[in-house]
Amino acid sequence: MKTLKFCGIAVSSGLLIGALVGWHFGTTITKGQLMFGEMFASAGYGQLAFVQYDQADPEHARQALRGFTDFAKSMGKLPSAQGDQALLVDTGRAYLRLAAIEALSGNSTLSHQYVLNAQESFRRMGRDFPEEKLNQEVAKINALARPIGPPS
Amino acid sequence: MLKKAALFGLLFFVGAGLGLFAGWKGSSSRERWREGRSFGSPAGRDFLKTYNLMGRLLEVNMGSAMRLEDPKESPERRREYLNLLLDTAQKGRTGVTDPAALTLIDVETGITYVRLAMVEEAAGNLPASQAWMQKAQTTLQQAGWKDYSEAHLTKLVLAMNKQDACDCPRGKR
Repeated sequence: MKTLKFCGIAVSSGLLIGALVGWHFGTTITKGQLMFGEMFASAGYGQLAFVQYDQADPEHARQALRGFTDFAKSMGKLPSAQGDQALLVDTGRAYLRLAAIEALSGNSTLSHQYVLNAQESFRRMGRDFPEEKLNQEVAKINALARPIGPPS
Repeated sequence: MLKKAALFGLLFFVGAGLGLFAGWKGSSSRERWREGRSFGSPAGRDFLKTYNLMGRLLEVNMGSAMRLEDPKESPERRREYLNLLLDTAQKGRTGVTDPAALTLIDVETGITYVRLAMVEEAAGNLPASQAWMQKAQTTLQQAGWKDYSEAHLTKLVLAMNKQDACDCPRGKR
């Protein structure tokens, strides 16, 4: 009986300490892995969307950027994406490019909406850019851009 | 006394090992469940498929770009990695329904075809190089690219290789 008690104390104290340490490191390392996966996914989609914006016709460029902003919106629900400022920067940049495309197409209302979306995205990361400055950015993007066709 | 301490230590470590495994598994499963719990709907599951594929594509893409930039790598190793990228894109796209994501997967595929063309050209296999380049041009034309000339694609992909080979995911563009 005494031996059994002795063995029980040894195993259970080891179990308790092991479980606590395992829980701590399991949480930390899994969170790190998930954050790493989130970075790869957002960077992968973002990179392809921006390449498509640079290289494709306006219709495909729109589709790619809208796809990225929708993807980023869904990513906002992931706990691992909380506090990912780079995702917010990329989303803001995508909205500014969408605003530029719509401005060139003559859709000023939609362009304005995208500027506001960009502003909101930057605001969420703690940078409050005035609308005027973002409009200047859109004008700069358009200065480098090519003629745009009508929207779908 | 010494025997008793050794037995205690042994049993303690057995318990600690089991506890470590159980704690690790439990917390890891909990974190993964928390990560995916908002995506139980069909649209959510579709998003997760795109999410996983995009991450995997970038991972393999960076690996293949590093091998293309490394002069010590053999053409076989380069082909192997580029074919892995094509395989990942091909298998991954079956679960994706978002048209924007599907077009971007085609873009990644087209860029990989250009890389394969360049590997074959460097290895002196001109017919294979031309065949890959034609596939690239067709794919990228369908993805809406304005300039899909060989010269433009080669120049662009050379620049992308340099960028992809040394960038971490957050350093992109």
